[in-house]
Amino acid sequence: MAELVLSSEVRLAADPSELFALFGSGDPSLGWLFGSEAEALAPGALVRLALPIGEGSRVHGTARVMSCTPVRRIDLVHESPWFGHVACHLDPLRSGGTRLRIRVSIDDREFTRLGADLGLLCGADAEGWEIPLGLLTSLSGSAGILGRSTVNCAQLAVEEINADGGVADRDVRLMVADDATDPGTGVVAMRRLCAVSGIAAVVRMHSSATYSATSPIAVAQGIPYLYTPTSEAVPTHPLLIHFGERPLDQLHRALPLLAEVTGGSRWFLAGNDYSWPRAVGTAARAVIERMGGTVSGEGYVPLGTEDFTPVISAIGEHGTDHVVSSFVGQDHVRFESEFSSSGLRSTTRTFAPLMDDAVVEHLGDSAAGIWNALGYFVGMDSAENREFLRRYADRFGECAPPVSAAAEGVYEAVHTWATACRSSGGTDPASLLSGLRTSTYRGPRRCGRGGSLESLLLGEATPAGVRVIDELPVAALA
Amino acid sequence: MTDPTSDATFSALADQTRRAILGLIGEHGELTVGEIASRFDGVGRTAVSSHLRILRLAGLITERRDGRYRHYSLTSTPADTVVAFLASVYQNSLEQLADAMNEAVAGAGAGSGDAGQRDDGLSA
Repeated sequence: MAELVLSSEVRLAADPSELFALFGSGDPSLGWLFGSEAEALAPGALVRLALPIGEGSRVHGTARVMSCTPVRRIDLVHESPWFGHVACHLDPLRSGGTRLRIRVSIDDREFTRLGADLGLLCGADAEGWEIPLGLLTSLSGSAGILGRSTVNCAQLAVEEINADGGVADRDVRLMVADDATDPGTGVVAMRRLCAVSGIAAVVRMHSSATYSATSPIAVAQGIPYLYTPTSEAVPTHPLLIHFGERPLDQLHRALPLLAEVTGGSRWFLAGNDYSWPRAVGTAARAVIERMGGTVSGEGYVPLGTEDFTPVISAIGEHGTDHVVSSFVGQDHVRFESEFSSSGLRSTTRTFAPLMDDAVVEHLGDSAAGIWNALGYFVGMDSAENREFLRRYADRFGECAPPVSAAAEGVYEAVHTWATACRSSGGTDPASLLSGLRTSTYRGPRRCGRGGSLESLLLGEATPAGVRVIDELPVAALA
Repeated sequence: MTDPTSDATFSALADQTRRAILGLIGEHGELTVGEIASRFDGVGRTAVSSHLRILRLAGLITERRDGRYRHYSLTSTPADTVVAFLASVYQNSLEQLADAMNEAVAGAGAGSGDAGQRDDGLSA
């Protein structure tokens, strides 16, 4: 595959060992590359980036260590907001000091995707023998730090489908677009995907704020919309197909179980301020009141909040035994981390409807004890899951971002789409809808016909990942 | 000329020789086929013409006819902008690191009262 290669260098007075020690130090200006923060330099270790894009603001991104030769060279896989390889060389200068050289390579598909997402290029088109399948997800903005494994899982599913003969004798081609965790950007990206000639469907893994803005486009264009994340939205049209967990399914069994563990009855509801966290709050209030508990307070802050002190102080002042924490992406990571530092983790228990293995990787020890109920956790004990994880590791290697529930949901949705199209013999909307009514895809999740969830797993965050502690039927079946 | 597609633009940019040709034209402002071919070892005039056609169809260069000569110059293109954008993100990061390190050294120098010595060290 063709690639674009960029080189940059700078001469610095610091000697190589001094400069090497600053890599990943987390210092906004000295922690190169991009104010990076890395806890380890072992292959596969996560590197958090703050890219200097835009006036005075920074864009959060992620990379992973591929290999490291101390003091001489560090190789990184850049994951978000774009995908590429970055080789950093530290050359000692005879006069003292260091020449720091970086060589960045980005492949043609990613370049085209990025160009299109920047609004500069019109995006790729599929070839005549391919069926284009869109993926609208978040690779930048608050939810962007978790985006790469979603793209990987969609790509893995597409490759498996193609290896198995494709759909209707054609190969499937994945077209990726980034909504930047922003509804306005999501609309532009969605229009671009819908303009791809012959696009069969768009798989979506993004916030419900973007959903409200983009679902009317899918309906107007007659393009099936496969929505995978946990969501409060009720589908209002046959082309809007939901696979994700509903807030009430996540909460109705789990909150009483958590209250049994703590013996407490007070709950604080916190989250980002848009439709989904508010809907979680409404569902939580109903469950709490039904079990005789009380809501001690509520606090919602905008997406992209940097300082959570006010809401954490409010939680402390109101006094509570539990927190229902509905934050998203970078906000989620930052809130839980500050909450843990405040010392409140030792006196309260948290239920967080978006906590999954990817979030726990970002949080480390500060996530310990958080509960959630989702259709999937990496620790799920089943033959299908072991097979899926093996395929993911074989395809993307040890430096790939770990699978998350959100990403695995996209993998299942792509397979469910292909299974339905194969069973009815076509990729047009009518064939897809009829195929979904009669076919079942057997992946890691416990799903019935057309990908409907039959049970959720109750998980608890530990420093080693999410431990599955129970299996709960969804509300409709309870 | 038809509207350039992003695939054409990227395929044009994805080839090392064509990137080098663009770099050369950018450096000189305007060049003929013969002038470009003379600056490449192992790339014939026909191959250069073929690369130039791809670059022109992608909208990255324009052609001006003057008698029997054709002169090529760069057009500003969206893909150029993408490349420039990516390059500047990484380059700016390195320059900001250099500035921060200089400030840290200058700060330490001022604090310890031997700023003159450190200035000498840096300019060496």
